[in-house]
Amino acid sequence: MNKIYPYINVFLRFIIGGVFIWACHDKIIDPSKFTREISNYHVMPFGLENTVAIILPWLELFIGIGIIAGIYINANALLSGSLLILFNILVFQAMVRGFNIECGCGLKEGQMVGYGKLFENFSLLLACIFVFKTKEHFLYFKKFN
Amino acid sequence: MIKLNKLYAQVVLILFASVFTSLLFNQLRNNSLPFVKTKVEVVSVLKKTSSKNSESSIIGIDLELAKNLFKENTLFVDAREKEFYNEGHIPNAICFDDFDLLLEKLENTIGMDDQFIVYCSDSDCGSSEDLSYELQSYGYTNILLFKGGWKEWTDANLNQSKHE
Repeated sequence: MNKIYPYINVFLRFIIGGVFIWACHDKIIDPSKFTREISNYHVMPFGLENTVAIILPWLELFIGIGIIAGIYINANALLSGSLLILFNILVFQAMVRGFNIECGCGLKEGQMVGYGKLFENFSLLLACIFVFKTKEHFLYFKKFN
Repeated sequence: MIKLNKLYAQVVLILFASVFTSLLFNQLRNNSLPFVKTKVEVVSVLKKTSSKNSESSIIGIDLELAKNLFKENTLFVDAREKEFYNEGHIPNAICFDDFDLLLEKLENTIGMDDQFIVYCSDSDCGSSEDLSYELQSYGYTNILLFKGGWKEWTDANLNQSKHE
């Protein structure tokens, strides 16, 4: 294994974790707004928008903290990667159906669904795969991995 | 080599911690969201008691009732994005652009127990319902939800306004 991999790994962990923590901030403060943004995708069966709006931001927060702190790194990378795939499917279906809606990602106010968002998520997904695949870590809790 | 069982256990633990914390936090916050939204029933006629409810309510209304209430100068709130509002809206409807601004406009226009109508694009959009629940959590007790929304209104060739 390349000796630089653990350092790239920790750099990517901070980026992924930072993005997830930043993204969950507004959603935790204002879940009603997040509910409306979920509704705009027109994919959730009636009523479950609330369920997602309540739980998802906290999952993002736990993933963000865990991956930065070096706790359950592989599990957090797996979860974040799975979420990013799901987000891309949702964004893509909205684009195909012609919805010009805010993505509800929580990163930038007014960010709309589009190829830019798909690329952003895909880049983060690649980072998650790298973190998951790297066997040697740096700055982590050995006991919690 | 990654031990799969350990990995799955960690994933489950993270999911469990997230669900538990989110539910707990939601219960403790002032304006907690219902875990699952209940379906709003659409009515054609309002009961007399519903104009000044002691209990908070969200009542769905059909086009005919929306028309009648429009004639009675009942306030409408447009829950769509501002760009759609600008393209066309029910006359005198308030635009929902920013929640704090909307609260300010409502406070200046009506009382907490006064009746007003929220609508969005059509019966499939959820934003009017979400906004209604949010306004309800802020203390508005007499919210009517025009489920057919802008589509039903324009299909019936009723009065429209455009934002200058």
